[in-house]
Amino acid sequence: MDPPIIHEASFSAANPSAYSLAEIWPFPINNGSGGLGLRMNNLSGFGEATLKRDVSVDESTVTEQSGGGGRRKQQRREANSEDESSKLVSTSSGNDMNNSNGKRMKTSRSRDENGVSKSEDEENSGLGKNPAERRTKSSEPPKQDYIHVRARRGQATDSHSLAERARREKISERMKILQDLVPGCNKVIGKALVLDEIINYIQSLQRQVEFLSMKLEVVNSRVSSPIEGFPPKELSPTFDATGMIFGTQGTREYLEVSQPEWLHMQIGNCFDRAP
Amino acid sequence: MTPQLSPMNPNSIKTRFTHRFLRALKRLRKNKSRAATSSQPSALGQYRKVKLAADASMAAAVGPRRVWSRAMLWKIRSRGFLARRRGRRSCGGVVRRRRVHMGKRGGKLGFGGDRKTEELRRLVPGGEAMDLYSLLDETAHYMKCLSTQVQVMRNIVDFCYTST
Repeated sequence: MDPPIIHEASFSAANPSAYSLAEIWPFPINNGSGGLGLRMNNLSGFGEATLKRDVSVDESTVTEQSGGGGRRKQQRREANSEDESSKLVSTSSGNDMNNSNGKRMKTSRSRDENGVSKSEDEENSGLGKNPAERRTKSSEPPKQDYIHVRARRGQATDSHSLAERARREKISERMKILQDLVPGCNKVIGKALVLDEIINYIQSLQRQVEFLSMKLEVVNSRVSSPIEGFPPKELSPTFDATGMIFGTQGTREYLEVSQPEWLHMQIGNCFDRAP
Repeated sequence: MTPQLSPMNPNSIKTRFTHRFLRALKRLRKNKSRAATSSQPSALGQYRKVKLAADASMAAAVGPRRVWSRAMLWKIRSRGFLARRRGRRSCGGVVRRRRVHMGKRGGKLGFGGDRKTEELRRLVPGGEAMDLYSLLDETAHYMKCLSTQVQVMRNIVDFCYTST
Protein backbone atom coordinates (compact mmCIF):
# COMPACT_ATOMS: atom_id res chain seq x y z
CA MET A 1 0.00 0.00 0.00
CA ASP A 2 2.95 2.28 -0.06
CA PRO A 3 2.60 3.48 -3.65
CA PRO A 4 -0.96 4.74 -3.16
CA ILE A 5 0.06 6.87 -0.23
CA ILE A 6 2.79 8.48 -2.20
CA HIS A 7 0.35 8.86 -4.99
CA GLU A 8 -2.16 10.57 -2.80
CA ALA A 9 0.36 12.95 -1.37
CA SER A 10 1.55 13.94 -4.77
CA PHE A 11 -2.00 14.53 -5.83
CA SER A 12 -2.79 16.78 -2.94
CA ALA A 13 0.09 18.92 -4.05
CA ALA A 14 -1.50 19.00 -7.51
CA ASN A 15 1.37 20.76 -9.14
CA PRO A 16 2.37 19.68 -12.66
CA SER A 17 5.47 17.84 -11.59
CA ALA A 18 3.54 15.75 -9.09
CA TYR A 19 0.94 15.13 -11.71
CA SER A 20 3.47 13.75 -14.08
CA LEU A 21 4.77 11.49 -11.34
CA ALA A 22 1.26 10.33 -10.69
CA GLU A 23 0.79 9.79 -14.34
CA ILE A 24 3.90 7.67 -14.53
CA TRP A 25 3.05 5.55 -11.53
CA PRO A 26 -0.04 3.64 -12.60
CA PHE A 27 1.14 2.65 -15.99
CA PRO A 28 4.07 0.43 -15.22
CA ILE A 29 2.01 -1.47 -12.67
CA ASN A 30 -1.03 -1.56 -14.83
CA ASN A 31 1.00 -2.70 -17.72
CA GLY A 32 2.47 -5.60 -15.88
CA SER A 33 -0.63 -6.64 -14.01
CA GLY A 34 -2.90 -6.25 -16.98
CA GLY A 35 -0.71 -8.45 -19.06
CA LEU A 36 -0.54 -11.00 -16.26
CA GLY A 37 -4.26 -10.95 -15.79
CA LEU A 38 -4.91 -11.45 -19.45
CA ARG A 39 -2.42 -14.24 -19.68
CA MET A 40 -3.79 -16.12 -16.73
CA ASN A 41 -7.41 -15.21 -17.16
CA ASN A 42 -8.63 -18.58 -18.28
CA LEU A 43 -9.83 -20.39 -15.21
CA SER A 44 -6.60 -20.42 -13.25
CA GLY A 45 -7.34 -19.57 -9.67
CA PHE A 46 -3.93 -18.17 -9.07
CA GLY A 47 -4.26 -15.74 -11.88
CA GLU A 48 -7.57 -14.64 -10.51
CA ALA A 49 -6.08 -14.18 -7.11
CA THR A 50 -3.29 -11.97 -8.38
CA LEU A 51 -5.71 -10.05 -10.45
CA LYS A 52 -7.98 -9.60 -7.49
CA ARG A 53 -5.21 -8.29 -5.34
CA ASP A 54 -4.21 -5.94 -8.04
CA VAL A 55 -7.68 -4.60 -8.55
CA SER A 56 -8.28 -4.17 -4.86
CA VAL A 57 -5.08 -2.21 -4.49
CA ASP A 58 -6.08 0.00 -7.31
CA GLU A 59 -9.54 0.60 -5.98
CA SER A 60 -8.36 1.20 -2.49
CA THR A 61 -6.19 3.96 -3.83
CA VAL A 62 -9.28 5.39 -5.37
CA THR A 63 -11.19 5.24 -2.13
CA GLU A 64 -8.40 6.90 -0.27
CA GLN A 65 -8.48 9.77 -2.60
CA SER A 66 -11.84 11.16 -1.47
CA GLY A 67 -14.52 12.56 -3.79
CA GLY A 68 -17.53 11.22 -5.64
CA GLY A 69 -18.81 7.65 -5.63
CA GLY A 70 -18.44 4.29 -7.25
CA ARG A 71 -20.25 5.61 -10.27
CA ARG A 72 -17.78 8.38 -10.52
CA LYS A 73 -14.96 5.96 -10.48
CA GLN A 74 -16.62 3.97 -13.15
CA GLN A 75 -17.05 7.04 -15.22
CA ARG A 76 -13.47 7.85 -14.68
CA ARG A 77 -12.51 4.48 -16.09
CA GLU A 78 -14.66 4.91 -19.11
CA ALA A 79 -13.44 8.39 -19.70
CA ASN A 80 -9.93 7.23 -19.23
CA SER A 81 -10.17 4.60 -21.84
CA GLU A 82 -12.10 6.81 -24.19
CA ASP A 83 -9.56 9.50 -23.88
CA GLU A 84 -6.69 7.34 -24.65
CA SER A 85 -7.84 5.53 -27.73
CA SER A 86 -11.03 5.20 -29.62
CA LYS A 87 -10.87 1.47 -29.90
CA LEU A 88 -11.01 1.11 -26.13
CA VAL A 89 -14.60 2.24 -26.21
CA SER A 90 -15.68 -1.12 -27.37
CA THR A 91 -13.97 -2.90 -24.53
CA SER A 92 -14.95 -0.60 -21.72
CA SER A 93 -18.30 0.68 -22.93
CA GLY A 94 -20.20 -2.29 -21.60
CA ASN A 95 -19.13 -1.69 -18.02
CA ASP A 96 -21.88 -3.12 -15.87
CA MET A 97 -21.75 -2.60 -12.17
CA ASN A 98 -23.67 -5.72 -11.41
CA ASN A 99 -21.69 -8.08 -13.53
CA SER A 100 -18.56 -8.15 -11.49
CA ASN A 101 -16.81 -10.82 -13.45
CA GLY A 102 -17.32 -9.21 -16.80
CA LYS A 103 -16.36 -5.89 -15.42
CA ARG A 104 -13.20 -7.23 -13.99
CA MET A 105 -12.24 -8.75 -17.25
CA LYS A 106 -13.02 -5.55 -19.08
CA THR A 107 -11.18 -3.32 -16.73
CA SER A 108 -8.17 -5.50 -16.89
CA ARG A 109 -8.33 -5.50 -20.64
CA SER A 110 -8.71 -1.77 -20.83
CA ARG A 111 -5.86 -1.38 -18.45
CA ASP A 112 -3.74 -3.58 -20.56
CA GLU A 113 -4.47 -1.44 -23.51
CA ASN A 114 -3.72 1.54 -21.37
CA GLY A 115 -0.31 0.16 -20.95
CA VAL A 116 -0.03 -0.57 -24.62
CA SER A 117 -1.08 2.91 -25.55
CA LYS A 118 1.22 4.48 -23.06
CA SER A 119 3.29 6.35 -25.56
CA GLU A 120 0.19 7.64 -27.22
CA ASP A 121 -1.05 8.89 -23.90
CA GLU A 122 2.19 10.61 -23.16
CA GLU A 123 1.89 12.44 -26.42
CA ASN A 124 -1.47 13.98 -25.62
CA SER A 125 -0.90 14.56 -21.95
CA GLY A 126 -3.43 17.35 -22.03
CA LEU A 127 -6.11 14.74 -22.47
CA GLY A 128 -4.49 12.53 -19.84
CA LYS A 129 -4.97 15.25 -17.28
CA ASN A 130 -8.69 14.74 -17.42
CA PRO A 131 -8.92 11.33 -15.77
CA ALA A 132 -6.33 12.26 -13.22
CA GLU A 133 -8.41 15.19 -12.07
CA ARG A 134 -11.43 13.00 -11.84
CA ARG A 135 -9.47 10.59 -9.81
CA THR A 136 -8.81 13.28 -7.28
CA LYS A 137 -12.54 13.90 -7.04
CA SER A 138 -13.49 10.29 -6.32
CA SER A 139 -14.86 8.79 -3.83
CA GLU A 140 -16.35 7.28 -0.69
CA PRO A 141 -15.81 3.52 -0.35
CA PRO A 142 -17.81 1.93 -3.12
CA LYS A 143 -19.99 -0.94 -2.01
CA GLN A 144 -19.32 -2.81 -5.18
CA ASP A 145 -15.92 -3.71 -3.81
CA TYR A 146 -17.42 -6.01 -1.26
CA ILE A 147 -19.57 -7.62 -3.85
CA HIS A 148 -16.50 -8.11 -5.97
CA VAL A 149 -14.68 -9.74 -3.13
CA ARG A 150 -17.57 -12.03 -2.45
CA ALA A 151 -17.92 -12.98 -6.02
CA ARG A 152 -14.28 -13.73 -6.15
CA ARG A 153 -14.51 -15.74 -3.04
CA GLY A 154 -17.15 -17.74 -4.74
CA GLN A 155 -14.85 -18.22 -7.64
CA ALA A 156 -12.10 -19.24 -5.30
CA THR A 157 -14.30 -21.98 -3.91
CA ASP A 158 -15.06 -22.82 -7.44
CA SER A 159 -11.39 -23.33 -8.13
CA HIS A 160 -11.27 -25.37 -4.95
CA SER A 161 -14.05 -27.51 -6.20
CA LEU A 162 -12.22 -27.80 -9.47
CA ALA A 163 -9.18 -29.02 -7.61
CA GLU A 164 -11.37 -31.34 -5.60
CA ARG A 165 -12.86 -32.72 -8.76
CA ALA A 166 -9.41 -33.26 -10.21
CA ARG A 167 -8.39 -35.07 -7.05
CA ARG A 168 -11.43 -37.27 -7.16
CA GLU A 169 -10.75 -38.06 -10.77
CA LYS A 170 -7.22 -39.05 -9.94
CA ILE A 171 -8.41 -41.26 -7.14
CA SER A 172 -11.03 -42.96 -9.23
CA GLU A 173 -8.44 -43.53 -11.92
CA ARG A 174 -6.24 -45.22 -9.33
CA MET A 175 -9.20 -47.25 -8.23
CA LYS A 176 -9.71 -48.37 -11.78
CA ILE A 177 -6.10 -49.48 -12.03
CA LEU A 178 -6.45 -51.37 -8.78
CA GLN A 179 -9.62 -52.94 -10.02
CA ASP A 180 -7.78 -54.19 -13.05
CA LEU A 181 -5.09 -55.63 -10.85
CA VAL A 182 -7.38 -57.55 -8.58
CA PRO A 183 -8.78 -60.59 -10.35
CA GLY A 184 -12.53 -60.69 -10.54
CA CYS A 185 -12.91 -57.14 -9.32
CA ASN A 186 -14.13 -55.70 -12.58
CA LYS A 187 -17.71 -56.61 -11.98
CA VAL A 188 -17.81 -55.06 -8.56
CA ILE A 189 -19.47 -51.67 -8.44
CA GLY A 190 -19.06 -49.19 -5.65
CA LYS A 191 -15.95 -47.89 -4.01
CA ALA A 192 -16.49 -49.58 -0.68
CA LEU A 193 -16.93 -52.96 -2.31
CA VAL A 194 -13.92 -52.46 -4.53
CA LEU A 195 -11.88 -51.52 -1.50
CA ASP A 196 -13.20 -54.61 0.21
CA GLU A 197 -12.03 -56.72 -2.68
CA ILE A 198 -8.64 -55.07 -2.68
CA ILE A 199 -8.23 -55.59 1.03
CA ASN A 200 -9.22 -59.22 0.74
CA TYR A 201 -6.84 -59.76 -2.11
CA ILE A 202 -3.93 -58.19 -0.29
CA GLN A 203 -4.70 -60.17 2.82
CA SER A 204 -4.85 -63.37 0.85
CA LEU A 205 -1.55 -62.55 -0.81
CA GLN A 206 0.05 -61.83 2.52
CA ARG A 207 -1.30 -65.06 3.91
CA GLN A 208 0.02 -66.87 0.90
CA VAL A 209 3.44 -65.37 1.50
CA GLU A 210 3.26 -66.55 5.07
CA PHE A 211 2.25 -70.00 4.05
CA LEU A 212 4.89 -70.24 1.37
CA SER A 213 7.53 -69.09 3.76
CA MET A 214 6.46 -71.91 6.06
CA LYS A 215 6.87 -74.35 3.23
CA LEU A 216 10.19 -72.88 2.32
CA GLU A 217 11.26 -73.12 5.89
CA VAL A 218 10.47 -76.80 5.86
CA VAL A 219 12.30 -77.25 2.58
CA ASN A 220 15.18 -75.17 3.76
CA SER A 221 15.62 -77.09 6.98
CA ARG A 222 15.99 -80.37 5.22
CA VAL A 223 19.38 -81.92 5.27
CA SER A 224 19.71 -81.98 1.52
CA SER A 225 17.85 -78.98 0.36
CA PRO A 226 17.81 -78.18 -3.33
CA ILE A 227 18.11 -74.55 -2.37
CA GLU A 228 21.54 -75.36 -1.14
CA GLY A 229 22.19 -76.98 -4.45
CA PHE A 230 20.67 -74.59 -6.85
CA PRO A 231 22.22 -71.34 -6.06
CA PRO A 232 25.36 -73.38 -5.96
CA LYS A 233 28.91 -72.41 -5.46
CA GLU A 234 29.05 -69.36 -7.67
CA LEU A 235 27.33 -71.18 -10.48
CA SER A 236 25.10 -68.25 -11.08
CA PRO A 237 24.26 -69.14 -14.69
CA THR A 238 22.33 -72.22 -13.67
CA PHE A 239 20.84 -70.37 -10.78
CA ASP A 240 19.79 -67.64 -13.11
CA ALA A 241 18.40 -70.25 -15.39
CA THR A 242 16.34 -71.79 -12.65
CA GLY A 243 15.24 -68.41 -11.44
CA MET A 244 14.33 -67.28 -14.90
CA ILE A 245 12.85 -70.38 -16.32
CA PHE A 246 10.28 -70.14 -13.61
CA GLY A 247 9.20 -66.88 -15.02
CA THR A 248 8.47 -68.23 -18.48
CA GLN A 249 5.03 -68.69 -19.82
CA GLY A 250 4.83 -72.45 -19.73
CA THR A 251 5.55 -72.80 -16.09
CA ARG A 252 3.34 -69.89 -15.27
CA GLU A 253 0.43 -71.49 -16.97
CA TYR A 254 1.16 -74.70 -15.23
CA LEU A 255 1.14 -72.84 -11.98
CA GLU A 256 -2.05 -71.13 -12.90
CA VAL A 257 -3.60 -74.53 -13.26
CA SER A 258 -2.22 -75.73 -9.99
CA GLN A 259 -3.23 -72.64 -8.13
CA PRO A 260 -6.54 -73.88 -6.71
CA GLU A 261 -4.77 -76.72 -5.06
CA TRP A 262 -2.42 -74.32 -3.45
CA LEU A 263 -5.25 -72.19 -2.32
CA HIS A 264 -6.93 -75.14 -0.74
CA MET A 265 -3.78 -76.00 1.04
CA GLN A 266 -3.44 -72.48 2.21
CA ILE A 267 -6.98 -72.34 3.47
CA GLY A 268 -6.57 -75.60 5.24
CA ASN A 269 -3.45 -74.30 6.79
CA CYS A 270 -5.23 -71.24 8.01
CA PHE A 271 -7.93 -73.30 9.56
CA ASP A 272 -5.29 -75.35 11.23
CA ARG A 273 -3.75 -72.28 12.72
CA ALA A 274 -6.99 -70.62 13.70
CA PRO A 275 -7.84 -72.67 16.75
CA MET B 1 15.98 -73.62 -22.57
CA THR B 2 18.74 -71.13 -23.06
CA PRO B 3 16.93 -69.14 -25.76
CA GLN B 4 14.20 -68.52 -23.26
CA LEU B 5 16.61 -66.70 -21.03
CA SER B 6 17.01 -63.76 -23.33
CA PRO B 7 13.53 -62.26 -23.03
CA MET B 8 13.81 -62.13 -19.27
CA ASN B 9 14.90 -58.79 -18.03
CA PRO B 10 17.79 -59.24 -15.62
CA ASN B 11 16.93 -55.96 -13.95
CA SER B 12 13.30 -56.72 -13.42
CA ILE B 13 12.01 -56.67 -9.91
CA LYS B 14 11.20 -60.33 -10.16
CA THR B 15 14.73 -61.36 -11.02
CA ARG B 16 16.25 -59.12 -8.43
CA PHE B 17 13.88 -60.40 -5.83
CA THR B 18 14.66 -64.00 -6.73
CA HIS B 19 18.37 -63.41 -6.41
CA ARG B 20 18.08 -61.66 -3.10
CA PHE B 21 15.63 -64.10 -1.66
CA LEU B 22 17.64 -67.16 -2.57
CA ARG B 23 20.72 -65.59 -1.11
CA ALA B 24 18.82 -64.80 2.06
CA LEU B 25 17.52 -68.37 2.25
CA LYS B 26 20.99 -69.69 1.90
CA ARG B 27 22.20 -67.42 4.64
CA LEU B 28 19.37 -68.51 6.87
CA ARG B 29 20.19 -72.12 6.25
CA LYS B 30 23.81 -71.57 7.06
CA ASN B 31 22.97 -69.74 10.26
CA LYS B 32 20.57 -72.42 11.23
CA SER B 33 22.90 -75.28 10.56
CA ARG B 34 25.39 -73.51 12.73
CA ALA B 35 22.89 -73.02 15.53
CA ALA B 36 21.06 -76.30 15.05
CA THR B 37 23.37 -78.36 17.19
CA SER B 38 23.12 -76.16 20.25
CA SER B 39 19.48 -75.12 20.42
CA GLN B 40 16.69 -75.80 17.97
CA PRO B 41 14.60 -72.63 17.71
CA SER B 42 10.90 -73.00 17.30
CA ALA B 43 9.56 -73.60 13.81
CA LEU B 44 7.37 -70.56 14.17
CA GLY B 45 10.28 -68.23 14.67
CA GLN B 46 12.07 -69.81 11.77
CA TYR B 47 9.21 -69.33 9.36
CA ARG B 48 8.93 -65.76 10.54
CA LYS B 49 12.54 -65.36 9.61
CA VAL B 50 11.88 -66.72 6.15
CA LYS B 51 8.96 -64.39 5.74
CA LEU B 52 10.98 -61.43 6.93
CA ALA B 53 13.70 -62.39 4.50
CA ALA B 54 11.18 -62.54 1.68
CA ASP B 55 9.69 -59.19 2.60
CA ALA B 56 13.05 -57.56 3.01
CA SER B 57 14.35 -58.87 -0.28
CA MET B 58 11.20 -57.74 -2.02
CA ALA B 59 11.48 -54.27 -0.57
CA ALA B 60 15.18 -54.12 -1.37
CA ALA B 61 14.50 -55.26 -4.92
CA VAL B 62 11.95 -52.51 -5.35
CA GLY B 63 14.38 -49.98 -4.01
CA PRO B 64 13.84 -46.85 -1.98
CA ARG B 65 11.73 -45.10 -4.56
CA ARG B 66 8.48 -46.44 -3.23
CA VAL B 67 7.01 -45.41 0.07
CA TRP B 68 5.90 -48.88 1.01
CA SER B 69 9.30 -50.46 0.38
CA ARG B 70 10.99 -47.80 2.43
CA ALA B 71 8.51 -48.28 5.22
CA MET B 72 8.87 -52.03 5.09
CA LEU B 73 12.65 -51.93 5.22
CA TRP B 74 12.50 -49.46 8.04
CA LYS B 75 10.06 -51.64 9.92
CA ILE B 76 12.12 -54.76 9.44
CA ARG B 77 15.28 -53.06 10.53
CA SER B 78 13.74 -51.34 13.47
CA ARG B 79 11.91 -54.48 14.46
CA GLY B 80 15.18 -56.14 15.28
CA PHE B 81 16.28 -52.99 16.98
CA LEU B 82 13.06 -52.69 18.97
CA ALA B 83 13.16 -56.35 19.93
CA ARG B 84 16.62 -55.87 21.29
CA ARG B 85 15.52 -52.75 23.08
CA ARG B 86 12.45 -54.43 24.42
CA GLY B 87 14.67 -57.04 25.91
CA ARG B 88 16.43 -54.35 27.81
CA ARG B 89 13.59 -52.02 28.64
CA SER B 90 9.82 -51.98 28.58
CA CYS B 91 7.97 -51.58 25.29
CA GLY B 92 7.46 -47.84 25.69
CA GLY B 93 8.81 -47.09 22.28
CA VAL B 94 6.22 -49.13 20.50
CA VAL B 95 3.36 -47.50 22.32
CA ARG B 96 4.70 -44.07 21.52
CA ARG B 97 4.96 -44.86 17.84
CA ARG B 98 1.45 -46.13 17.70
CA ARG B 99 0.17 -42.99 19.28
CA VAL B 100 1.90 -40.84 16.72
CA HIS B 101 0.23 -42.76 13.96
CA MET B 102 -3.15 -42.32 15.55
CA GLY B 103 -2.60 -38.59 15.72
CA LYS B 104 -1.65 -38.44 12.09
CA ARG B 105 -4.64 -40.46 11.09
CA GLY B 106 -7.00 -38.18 13.00
CA GLY B 107 -6.40 -35.31 10.62
CA LYS B 108 -6.97 -37.26 7.48
CA LEU B 109 -10.01 -36.77 5.36
CA GLY B 110 -11.29 -39.77 3.52
CA PHE B 111 -14.24 -40.48 1.32
CA GLY B 112 -17.17 -42.82 1.78
CA GLY B 113 -15.50 -46.05 2.81
CA ASP B 114 -13.46 -44.56 5.57
CA ARG B 115 -13.19 -47.71 7.63
CA LYS B 116 -12.07 -49.57 4.53
CA THR B 117 -9.44 -46.96 3.90
CA GLU B 118 -8.20 -47.39 7.43
CA GLU B 119 -7.99 -51.09 6.89
CA LEU B 120 -6.07 -50.59 3.70
CA ARG B 121 -3.74 -48.24 5.49
CA ARG B 122 -2.99 -50.91 8.00
CA LEU B 123 -2.29 -53.46 5.28
CA VAL B 124 0.02 -51.41 3.12
CA PRO B 125 3.32 -50.72 4.87
CA GLY B 126 3.80 -47.05 5.51
CA GLY B 127 0.19 -46.36 4.63
CA GLU B 128 -0.60 -44.67 7.92
CA ALA B 129 0.76 -41.32 6.85
CA MET B 130 -0.39 -41.11 3.25
CA ASP B 131 -3.11 -39.23 1.52
CA LEU B 132 -5.65 -41.28 -0.32
CA TYR B 133 -4.22 -40.85 -3.76
CA SER B 134 -0.73 -41.99 -2.88
CA LEU B 135 -2.20 -44.71 -0.73
CA LEU B 136 -3.98 -46.15 -3.75
CA ASP B 137 -0.88 -45.70 -5.85
CA GLU B 138 1.25 -47.53 -3.33
CA THR B 139 -1.39 -50.16 -2.92
CA ALA B 140 -1.33 -50.90 -6.62
CA HIS B 141 2.42 -51.25 -6.65
CA TYR B 142 2.50 -53.20 -3.45
CA MET B 143 -0.10 -55.59 -4.79
CA LYS B 144 1.87 -56.20 -7.93
CA CYS B 145 5.00 -56.85 -5.94
CA LEU B 146 3.17 -59.13 -3.54
CA SER B 147 1.83 -61.23 -6.35
CA THR B 148 5.31 -61.41 -7.85
CA GLN B 149 6.63 -62.46 -4.50
CA VAL B 150 4.01 -65.15 -4.16
CA GLN B 151 4.71 -66.38 -7.66
CA VAL B 152 8.45 -66.62 -7.15
CA MET B 153 8.15 -68.27 -3.78
CA ARG B 154 5.71 -70.77 -5.16
CA ASN B 155 8.09 -71.49 -8.00
CA ILE B 156 10.91 -72.11 -5.60
CA VAL B 157 8.80 -74.41 -3.45
CA ASP B 158 7.67 -76.28 -6.52
CA PHE B 159 11.18 -76.64 -7.72
CA CYS B 160 12.29 -77.98 -4.37
CA TYR B 161 9.47 -80.49 -4.18
CA THR B 162 9.85 -81.72 -7.70
CA SER B 163 13.59 -82.02 -7.47
CA THR B 164 13.55 -84.15 -4.32
